[in-house]
Amino acid sequence: MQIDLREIQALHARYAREPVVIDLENQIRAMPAPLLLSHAPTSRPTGLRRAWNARWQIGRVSLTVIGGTVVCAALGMGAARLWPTPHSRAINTPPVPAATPASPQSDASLSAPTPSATAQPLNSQALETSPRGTPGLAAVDPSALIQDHGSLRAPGTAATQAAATTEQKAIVSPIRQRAITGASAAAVANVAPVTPVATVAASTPQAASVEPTAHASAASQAPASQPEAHRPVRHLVHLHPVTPRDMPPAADAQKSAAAPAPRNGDVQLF
Amino acid sequence: MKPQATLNVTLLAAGSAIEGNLILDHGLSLFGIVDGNVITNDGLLHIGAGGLVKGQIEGEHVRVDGTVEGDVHARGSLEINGRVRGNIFYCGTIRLGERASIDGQLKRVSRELTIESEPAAIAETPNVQSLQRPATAAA
Repeated sequence: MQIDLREIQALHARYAREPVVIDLENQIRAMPAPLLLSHAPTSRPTGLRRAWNARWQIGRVSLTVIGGTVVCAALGMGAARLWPTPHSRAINTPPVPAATPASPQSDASLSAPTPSATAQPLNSQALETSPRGTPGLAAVDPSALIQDHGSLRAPGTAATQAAATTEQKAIVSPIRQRAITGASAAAVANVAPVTPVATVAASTPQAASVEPTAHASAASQAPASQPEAHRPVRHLVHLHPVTPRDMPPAADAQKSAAAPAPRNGDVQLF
Repeated sequence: MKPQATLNVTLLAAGSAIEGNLILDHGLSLFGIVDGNVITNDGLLHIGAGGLVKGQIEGEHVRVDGTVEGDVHARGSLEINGRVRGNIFYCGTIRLGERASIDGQLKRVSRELTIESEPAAIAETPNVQSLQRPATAAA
């Protein structure tokens, strides 16, 4: 049996698979190349882009300046908030002006109590009876009490300090001083020097509720030790501070001072 | 890169005999005797007139003009103009010539199953032998 090679080759050729040709170069060349992959040199920046870049640089500088300003402002505000803290004691402490030698009565009253160097603070020994039989509180200097009261009140809040200042102003107002002076003068003319102080102490219920004998003694001692005429009155008020709500205005003080003696059953407020 | 126009075909001429499996990646024209399985991955597996395969044949395109004593697996086209003593599994087209003699069953299967035989069907048909592929053939 003869084998025809040509016939066999033709037979196999019929079932031969078409070869798959992958021509990458032609395929890539035929594809539309994107702009990003193109090898063309990058175009020069347009005028709009240049303008935008310039404005962006200016804006960046402006933003930097504004940011620095904001930071500085924040720091300044923080420092301003923190600055009064270390100086609060100095600010809250009432000014202590020097004793004016000859000034009007209002000025003398406005002057803050000047704690003398010899003033001794109140302690337990002061409550004891002296060997001579006099009460121990008689030797207490009211100015020392005022000093202690002020030192204790110094670290208080600003509102309390403002209330105290208002209280002082109201007390030392010329109208009140005039009324008190008139009442004191009348009392001094009628009775002993202790009487005005006792009258004032009795007129203030709050003051009378706290050891009236001690206050009376202290008040009786005050005119002797302090040459100022109105000092005891002012000290009594300071020893028993009242809240601003209870603080009577100057007009009321004048009215109470000028009011006649309380009748039976009436409560004298001031 | 130009496509290669060469056609690789193995020719086993008459008067030759091979004992064992024959695995090829191209076409084969067999006019001799093979005592084993013949597998071609591509091209045409041609069992020429006078050729004899005592085993299973498997190929993309199968044309049988001789004698096959075993199963025939065709993934593409199958053309029989000879004698087959075994089951025929095909998934493409099949053509039977005037001299075709089939002693077995014709089954159209999916392309994935053209190689794997079905044991159940084989058990039901005692005249069909199950495929016992030796380990050396797989290697």
